[in-house]
Amino acid sequence: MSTKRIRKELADLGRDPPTSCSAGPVGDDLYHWQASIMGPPDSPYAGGVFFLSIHFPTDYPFKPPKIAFTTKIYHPNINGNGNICLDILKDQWSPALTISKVLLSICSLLTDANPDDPLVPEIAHIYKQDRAKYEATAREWTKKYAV
Amino acid sequence: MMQLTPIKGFSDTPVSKSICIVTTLLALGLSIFQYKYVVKLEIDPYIIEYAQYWRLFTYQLSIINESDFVLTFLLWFHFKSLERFFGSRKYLSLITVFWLYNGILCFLFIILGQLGLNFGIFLINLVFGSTIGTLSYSTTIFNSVAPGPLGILSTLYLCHGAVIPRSYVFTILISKPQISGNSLDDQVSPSKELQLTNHFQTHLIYFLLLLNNGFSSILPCIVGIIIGKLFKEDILAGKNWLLPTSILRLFVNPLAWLTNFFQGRFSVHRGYQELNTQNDNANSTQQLVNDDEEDVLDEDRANATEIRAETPVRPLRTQFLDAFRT
Amino acid sequence: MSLDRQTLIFLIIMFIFLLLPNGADQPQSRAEREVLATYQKNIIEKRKIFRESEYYKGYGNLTGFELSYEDNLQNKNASNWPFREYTKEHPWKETAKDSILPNSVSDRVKEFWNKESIDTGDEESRAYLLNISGNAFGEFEIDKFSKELKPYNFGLPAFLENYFSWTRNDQKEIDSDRDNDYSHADSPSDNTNLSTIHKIGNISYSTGKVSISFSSSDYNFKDNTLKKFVKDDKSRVEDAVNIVADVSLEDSKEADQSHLPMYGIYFQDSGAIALTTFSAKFMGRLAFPHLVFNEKNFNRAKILTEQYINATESPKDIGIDMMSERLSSAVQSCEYVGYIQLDKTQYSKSQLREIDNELIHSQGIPLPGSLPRINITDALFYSPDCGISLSMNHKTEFSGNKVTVTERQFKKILNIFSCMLIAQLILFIKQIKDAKTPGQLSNISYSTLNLIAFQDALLGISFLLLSSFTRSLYLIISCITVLTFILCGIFEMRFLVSVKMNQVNEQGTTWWEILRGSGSNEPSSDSTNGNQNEAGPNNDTNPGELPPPVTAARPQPNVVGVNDEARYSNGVFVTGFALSIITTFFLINVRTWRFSYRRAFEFFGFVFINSYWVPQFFRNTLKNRRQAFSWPFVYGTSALRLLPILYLALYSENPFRHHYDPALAATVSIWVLVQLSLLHLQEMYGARFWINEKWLPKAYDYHPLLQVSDVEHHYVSDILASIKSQPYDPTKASVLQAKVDCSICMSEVTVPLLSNLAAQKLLSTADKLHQQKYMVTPCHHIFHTDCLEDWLSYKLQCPVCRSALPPV
Repeated sequence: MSTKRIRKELADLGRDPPTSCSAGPVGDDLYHWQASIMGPPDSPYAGGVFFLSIHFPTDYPFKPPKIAFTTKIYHPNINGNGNICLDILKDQWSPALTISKVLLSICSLLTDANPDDPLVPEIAHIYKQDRAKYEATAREWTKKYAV
Repeated sequence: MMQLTPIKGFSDTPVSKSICIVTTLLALGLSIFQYKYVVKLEIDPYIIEYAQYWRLFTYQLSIINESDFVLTFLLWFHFKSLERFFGSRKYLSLITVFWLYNGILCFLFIILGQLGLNFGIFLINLVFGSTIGTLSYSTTIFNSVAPGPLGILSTLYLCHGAVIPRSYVFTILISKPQISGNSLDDQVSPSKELQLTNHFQTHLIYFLLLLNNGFSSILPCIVGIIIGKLFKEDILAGKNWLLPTSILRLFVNPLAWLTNFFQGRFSVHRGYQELNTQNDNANSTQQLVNDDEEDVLDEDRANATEIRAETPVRPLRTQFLDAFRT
Repeated sequence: MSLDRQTLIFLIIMFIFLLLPNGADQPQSRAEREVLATYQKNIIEKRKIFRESEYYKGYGNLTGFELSYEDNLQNKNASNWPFREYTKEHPWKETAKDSILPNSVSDRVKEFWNKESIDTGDEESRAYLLNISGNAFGEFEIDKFSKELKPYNFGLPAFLENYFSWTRNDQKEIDSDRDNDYSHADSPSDNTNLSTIHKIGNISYSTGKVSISFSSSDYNFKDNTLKKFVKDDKSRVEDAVNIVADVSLEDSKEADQSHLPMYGIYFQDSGAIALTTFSAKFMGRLAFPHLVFNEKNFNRAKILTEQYINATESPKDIGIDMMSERLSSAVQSCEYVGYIQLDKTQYSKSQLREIDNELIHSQGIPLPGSLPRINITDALFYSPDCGISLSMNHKTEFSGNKVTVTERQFKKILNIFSCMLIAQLILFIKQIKDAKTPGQLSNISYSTLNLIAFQDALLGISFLLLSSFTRSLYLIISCITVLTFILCGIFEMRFLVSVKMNQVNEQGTTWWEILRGSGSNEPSSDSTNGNQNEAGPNNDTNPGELPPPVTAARPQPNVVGVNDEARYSNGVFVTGFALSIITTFFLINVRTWRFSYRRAFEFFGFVFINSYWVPQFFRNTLKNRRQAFSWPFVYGTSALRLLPILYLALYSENPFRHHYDPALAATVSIWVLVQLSLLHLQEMYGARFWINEKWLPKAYDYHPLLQVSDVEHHYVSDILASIKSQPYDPTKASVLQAKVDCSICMSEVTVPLLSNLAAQKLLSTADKLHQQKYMVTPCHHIFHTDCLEDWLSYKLQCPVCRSALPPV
């Protein structure tokens, strides 16, 4: 059941790829994908390409996929290991969500961070106090790691 | 059979586990519900005035002070290797046999002690012509015995010493060894040393238990040792008697036994009924009996083999330290 | 710990408050000090009189004892004492001429009191009880000659009278200041006329209940406080002891209750008890030795009374508090003199001593089956100043158990009760393990668990309060308290919280909607649809299917997180605790009500507490489930909670002294059986067997037959798009096959659509089977049956719009 669904998603992605995101399996393993997100143009991450790793559980789509950034990124809801604090990846998961929708929501997370429930409190603090500094650092990291 | 790895916890020794649990629960229950007098054995007044001979069998069931409790618990824990050696059924049968023998023999000893003291006084009166009256029973040291399974533990202690092999020996030097100056034929004066085996823990705890209550604990321990010696020489019967399996199962896992009992009586057939895979009637053939035992110990055994397989062979110091850990 | 200045000052002030001596016991003014000093001097004088008294000399000049009965009849005045001279040749005798007891009373007492005595050294024949600490309960009636008795008019000594009227005036001034009411001017004269209308002990009813609680020591030389006053062999009394008795008289309806504290002596060789009250107007305790009818008793009583008084009160220790207390009891209550005769027990003295020893320190010595009871054969109480004489009603027994025997009974019962608690704990743990999945948790009724937990919390708090009142039962009561608090505070609380969290999406929905199977989904799906339409650029192919993505913090309806769990458990704990404490105090108050009210309250209370399966019954109906709790738990809990009530109501000799009430037992057990049978019927015949299905809203059907007209509203446009190719004529009956994407597995679902109702007949069997292959949610989303059922086992939420789904 999960294989069929993953295959279908892959086919859908190939047929109708979303803008600024892409995803596909790493090698032969259908349950291990790699995805890439272009930094959204209206965010300090613009111009960068961020890579993510996606692991599907065996009872997908009833359990959410495990997604993590492999590229370092300066964001209040993404920590140094690349773990993302996103509710739809935890208890708000629904089987109607597809990888493309999830990637799109990650994109919007890049644009609008949520500093009130951060994974990295220091970055969230800077985000709230000094937005310009945050954006400068984000741009710097983007240039350093994601280009 | 050498044991390279110590047994972790109570794996594969369900009888010891039940005994430890029963000891704790009984001791707690007796003191909370204030029934401690049930396990006391005193000649005066219980036996003489009220003829409560049932105390012969109950006084070994539980201990009534905390230090005794710790020591007996530790000893039961150490003797779980005996259970591994004998097998659960034989171990429980041995314990029952020892319980009966110790109860009766210890009682005989204290009666003989009382009578002996009185006879001694009579003799003294006779020989020296003095008129010391008869000794009141309640004032002598032979009047009562420390309650608890002291006799059973003593006999088992003997078995443990006889049966469980020693895996290492070590010596503790008490005084510094002296090396005489330059001569080659060193007469190294032998330094005082103490040779101990890996059983030293058991020895230590047992001797603490022996001395804990003064004479009232020395007596049942000595009786237990005597019984052990007689048992080994086959003077006392019971070496080959085995307990019925149902009692073993009841002792090891009373909850399962109870649910089995009730399911057998009160089950209402409602559609799909699961197959009953356990033997209900206790057959007498040895093989079926062994199978039943396997049933009881199966799950624990599976876990145990996994654990054993993972632990590597250990050097001596780890073996030594492990004696304190498990 | 750093203290700032304010905290330090606060602590210092509290310290000073607590350490300073209690001001209440000190005289407040010079006048009060003088009164107190006079009172103390008065007592020292009277005690001197008492010490020098002999039997033939009579009472002496003791307050209240100046007049004999006949003197009172002749209305002589007490200030003219003495009226007669007593010498050894003309000694004081127990007749109405010399004593305060009228002839009718003393004759009556001589009939039963102190008749048969056994030898002090006799250890083998049947003896009277040695230690009578215990209770006795019986009934009394007013003697016929009581009407002819003339009451005394005891006056207070002058200085006390002044003091009393002065305080009473003060109090009246305070009252009138407060009330500003001039009508106080015509209140009855404020001289201390001590024959006020309603006094404690002024029995106006003819029969009633009496209960006495004795507390005595073994022998006077063994008592801890008295030992130091037993100086030599002469002051060792071998066969009499001091006792203190609390007598309470009440009428049969328990509306009028009088409580009298009395002091007395128990003669162990003849089983005779004499008691007296004492106050500022009646020095009963000092005159007591003269009330015991013969000289032998007099000598023993005098020694014992002297020892008791020296041990418990030295005149210097009498403070203002005690004086006021004696004064108020002088004003408010009748004085009483009582004579009680006990029955011989069937045991000898040595046996009694053994039994007493075993009861106090249980050594395992076998006790006889019937333990000796306090059996009163006859009793008489006479009040000199209210002119009343009561004696025992011989139709009922006047007996009771000793304190040690009662405690033994309690111990047995509490042991059994703690075993029952352990059984209940085990049952609960098993039930919690059995009901782990969300589906099972949603079947369990929150109110059922609430009632059970409330009962346990009440038990826990009452036992906690009880443990501070007993010494020998402390161990078992505190064990029970610990067990109860573990049961309700840990296990039941966790169960409650997990059930509550599971059913949180039912908040705000009425039971009608739950019956329909739909939660609060209609409005939320509209709102999320609205949101979706605004956030345009993030849509791709399916508008209206997905709410805009949110990050972790924005609150959503029906979201349950970790913070909520803590909040719920705190809320449950606090409300439960507060409610139980309030109810405990209320229950303590109920004990003081009269009998009929108590009985009615008991009925309602027990029936209410035992109706915990009723909410479960309703919830089963609501959710259409056959069974929620496991049967062993249901039976076990009901039995364990029913048994104590049956014991209290049916066992007439229970140590709690609950009356025999078969009606209560029958009512409660029938009610519990009714609930159990209802639950059984639900299991056998389905949860809604008792409701006519037509009255209910239809249960939600996940596999409906859809028509084209239904589909045009609310459903996604895909359906209509897929049938565009097929011809559709609403007048002709035809079956169209629509195809939708199941968003869980992303493959197609074929849904047969009817053009109109008549087309139902056209359905082939394949189509009918097909009906089971798709599910339609209340929010109009279609999925495969397998896909949606799998998802429902994880969460009861629609994957597309997250609205609550009814369970399958």
